[in-house]
Amino acid sequence: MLRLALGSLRARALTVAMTILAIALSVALFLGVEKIRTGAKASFADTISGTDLIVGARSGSVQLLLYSVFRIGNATNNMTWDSYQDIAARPQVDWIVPISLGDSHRQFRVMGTTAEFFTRYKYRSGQSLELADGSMMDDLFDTVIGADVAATLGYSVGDPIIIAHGLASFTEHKDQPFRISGILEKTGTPVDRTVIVSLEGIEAVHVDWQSGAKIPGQTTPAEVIRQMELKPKAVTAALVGVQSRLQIFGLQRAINEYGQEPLLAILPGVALQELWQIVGVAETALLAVSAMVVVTALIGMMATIFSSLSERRREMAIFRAMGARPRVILGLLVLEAVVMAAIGAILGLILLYIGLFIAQPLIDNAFGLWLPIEAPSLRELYVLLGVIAAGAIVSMIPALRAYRMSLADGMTVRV
Amino acid sequence: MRLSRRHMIAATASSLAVPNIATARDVPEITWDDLIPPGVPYSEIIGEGDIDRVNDTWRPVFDEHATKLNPTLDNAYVKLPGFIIPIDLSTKGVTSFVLVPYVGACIHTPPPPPNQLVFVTTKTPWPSDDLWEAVWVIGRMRHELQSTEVAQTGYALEADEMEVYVWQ
Repeated sequence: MLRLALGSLRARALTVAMTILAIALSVALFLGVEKIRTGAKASFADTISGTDLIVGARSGSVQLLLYSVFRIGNATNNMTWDSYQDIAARPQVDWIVPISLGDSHRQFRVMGTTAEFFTRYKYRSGQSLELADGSMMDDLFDTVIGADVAATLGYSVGDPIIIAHGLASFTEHKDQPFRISGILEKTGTPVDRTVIVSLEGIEAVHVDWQSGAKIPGQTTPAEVIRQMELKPKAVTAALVGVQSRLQIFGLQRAINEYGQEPLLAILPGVALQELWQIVGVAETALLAVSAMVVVTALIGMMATIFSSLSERRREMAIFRAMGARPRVILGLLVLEAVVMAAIGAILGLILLYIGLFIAQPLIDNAFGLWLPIEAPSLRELYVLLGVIAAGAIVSMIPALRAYRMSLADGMTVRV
Repeated sequence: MRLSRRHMIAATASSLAVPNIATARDVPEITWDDLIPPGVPYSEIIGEGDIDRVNDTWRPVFDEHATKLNPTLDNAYVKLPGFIIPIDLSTKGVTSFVLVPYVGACIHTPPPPPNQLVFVTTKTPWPSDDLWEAVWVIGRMRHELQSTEVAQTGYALEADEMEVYVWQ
């Protein structure tokens, strides 16, 4: 009967191909949305690990997380260096790493921090940053750049680099060029798109600046700047690790109630979950839409089977006249549908992987989202099986119709 | 479907890891009150704290009662309900978290005292995004002794199995 079904499908190759294509596209869309959804989640969850608290100016927990770790959006305010040192001196604090944002290089953000950042910052369940080339910063005007910065702008170790004021800017700190001392390995986190300098480096480029503008005609030579005491006045945020994780809440509370300055301490994991609760609604809507597309494609298949029934009245009648039971007619139609749905589902999966191969670097560049290409998960296989089963179920409707009226209908047809 | 699969995996994993536990049903359920050693009045644990009416802040001052642990719970295999405050996240879910008796209340009262927090690590990541979902945690409870500058002790638990708490 399978041979019969395949032969019958081949006889109507064009219609069948269109139906299969519709199913394939809808399946690819559904799986693609699912892939992006889980990929985005994984990519966010993988970005920060091992940090117990993030401290910054008082705003919202999601906002603080987004600007300090993901470089999305902006800080509402800085925290003063005094507050930073106050927190660093607390007995619960095991380590603290400052982050100073606000400058940029081309489309990439510049982050001022301390050398401890490279040992304390962890991603993907505890992995550390590794250098692909060169060495860590050891001079005031040294910088370490992320993999994407190097790849996009074609930089290599030893190249000079000029930092611009602001996040997108025509005002460059031209007189204090930095030198690239190292390039980091690709991490799949926002660090890839960051130019890292020392906190003192950030201060150094702003030596001749006052009230947000460069003092005209004044340039302090680099040698003089090196002699200066470059103590930062403020930092944007700080990553904190605590001695014992049961002290996190106590420290968080103390920072949130810090009297001298409105500060906010957040647990990265909690802020991430809050973010998911916000994004979750849109996510569900997107998934629902793509599921509806799959349903539409299946209904389309049902429609083509229905319309093929009137063409095939004679065929069905002949089958019946030759002794085929109505059950065989039913089975034939359902089998045809299952074959179509199965080919569609598999083709959809292939389309998804082709799409992933093409889109992976593009999505990574545009959104910093790394979608891993891996074997289909159990969940995806369930989706494919579900599509095939749904195909069988919708085909039952036209098949039952054929089951009921194949003989008499086909015999009395007038052409 | 997703939930039941996760449970099946968790159940299989735990049955392999801890063959001496017949089923999860045999594990004694404990409550948050059990974490306080018998005879220690709760009011003394939370204490008055340091209330600053001018700045409108309230800092808890935990006395020695707050760090007292129930000796019978050291190395006990228990089942405890609570809420998850995630600490470490992996792609598959939460791998370590602090189990607390309530969520969200830390904004108007001081955080719970150390003996009302349990630091949980789980081998099977818990794939939940919902902060307000209560869970059962089943595993071996230990007294975590830490000799840090601010000497503090607390409960730690290694979860073999977790399940969603069903409100009755």
